[in-house]
Amino acid sequence: MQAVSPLTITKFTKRYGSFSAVDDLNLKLDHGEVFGFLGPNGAGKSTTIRTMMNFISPTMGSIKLFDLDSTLDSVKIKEYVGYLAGDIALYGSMSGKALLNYLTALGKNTDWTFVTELVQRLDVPVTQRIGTLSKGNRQKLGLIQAFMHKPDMLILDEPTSGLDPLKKQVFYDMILDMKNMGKTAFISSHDLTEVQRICDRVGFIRSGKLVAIENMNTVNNLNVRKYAVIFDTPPAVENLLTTEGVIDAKLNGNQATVTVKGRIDQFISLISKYSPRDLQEQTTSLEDIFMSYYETD
Amino acid sequence: MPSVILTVTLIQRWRSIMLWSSSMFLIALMFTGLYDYFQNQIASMIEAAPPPLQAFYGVDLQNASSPAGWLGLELYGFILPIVLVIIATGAGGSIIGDEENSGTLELLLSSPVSRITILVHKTLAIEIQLALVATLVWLGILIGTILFPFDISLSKVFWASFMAWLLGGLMGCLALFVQSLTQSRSYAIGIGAGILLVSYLTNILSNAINSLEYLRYVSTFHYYGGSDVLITGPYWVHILVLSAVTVTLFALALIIFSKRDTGI
Repeated sequence: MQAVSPLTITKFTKRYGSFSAVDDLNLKLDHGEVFGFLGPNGAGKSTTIRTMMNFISPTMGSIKLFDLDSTLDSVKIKEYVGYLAGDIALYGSMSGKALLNYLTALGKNTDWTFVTELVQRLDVPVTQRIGTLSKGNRQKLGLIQAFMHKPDMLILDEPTSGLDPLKKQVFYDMILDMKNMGKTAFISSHDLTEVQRICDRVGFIRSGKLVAIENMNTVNNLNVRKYAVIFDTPPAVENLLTTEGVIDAKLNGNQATVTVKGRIDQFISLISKYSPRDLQEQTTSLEDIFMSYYETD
Repeated sequence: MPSVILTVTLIQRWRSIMLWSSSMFLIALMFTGLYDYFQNQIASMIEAAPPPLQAFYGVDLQNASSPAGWLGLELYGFILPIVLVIIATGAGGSIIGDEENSGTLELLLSSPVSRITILVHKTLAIEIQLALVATLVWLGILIGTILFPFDISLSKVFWASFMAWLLGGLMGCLALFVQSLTQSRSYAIGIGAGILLVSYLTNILSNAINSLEYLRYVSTFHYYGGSDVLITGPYWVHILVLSAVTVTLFALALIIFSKRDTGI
């Protein structure tokens, strides 16, 4: 199992009629790697994950997990995979314990000692009917069912959605534990802090194309910032865009939203000529960084 | 242990199973109890009815006042097959459709279990529910023969129940097939209900109008023929036709479901 890559995606394309949801995606993961998969809504993240799980089939190309084909060897693959869907659906009439028993009976090689530990760490009321649980508790249960057989590969779609900050920290620790066991994780997320804390590499998908794959260290050093500036008379967008360091600029009335990479002296020098009334630094998401960074390519 | 899918599906459907089974058991018992009260009025009622209405009842007048004819008038002529088809169409459309719509199908498919296994066990759950209802109707009649003056061949009643089960199974697999094809529970139930109506009316018309007699061969109700089976026993060709169509529809549903994209 260690000899082959836990995930190899080769020329993967998924089309719906003339629309390409994912186009010619290539990716290879290493053992013990935590990979963050980022992109705006509709970019193709879920399509990729759903194809890995054989919920849908590729139009072209292939996805292999541990050298097993996602379509042909789907049942075997599931023995090695723990999966959490974005906005997970569970059986509302079952208790959490009954659900875990059900999934175990379906063939998951559950480590019940580990389950007990996870239940305590995440603080989930597993004897309660799932239909009565909060969104956060259902998410925790979803995480437990993904981790409970200590799978070699975790495929997690928005894993911390609905979790409070304390439980997010527990999840980060769980991922670290799995990584230390040599397990691999493929995580789709919108949370910059989350990705920065737990991922070794990050890939960004946009309009169905994987536009970038970077090590987390590189991403952290991109030094991209976003500013909102209010003017009495704003400069033309072209002036902003031709300024050194500016990689994106948008004008909305008297307010300019400008993304700057690297040094900001030329940008400050330009806006000072237009008597800015207000200047604020805005939160920069990892998506913003990628979008801006690669829009200049 | 994929049989757990069958067990869990039956548990999920227990309310429906209990409701339909107990209701149909009591209805069957009631029919046996009412026979003594109505037996002298049945033949005159049928004779007074115009030919199209007689065709609707679908019972030979010579047997109309016998216990078998009495059961064939309503219980096996209308109520049992319609109830089984309603249960089967609803279950066939929703047994995968509900899981797909709610998203829980992904939970099943993320386990090391094949789509074929899922569909086979879920279909078995439908067949078990249908068999339970049909058997309890037979049981209600059996108990009726003990409690009331109701003399009937229980083996022929068994075969009539069996034919109703086959009819239900066919319609369940039709709904399953349509759901697999369209991914729509509504289409599956709508098309199933439409075919039920057309099939039932076609059978009546082909009985009432000589020139339309050939139409009976496209009606599933013709092959069911529960009222006739109560009097003459089973027709093996009809059993074969219903079974063959059911197996074909199930095989098609299986092929489509195992290949298609899910949950879109």
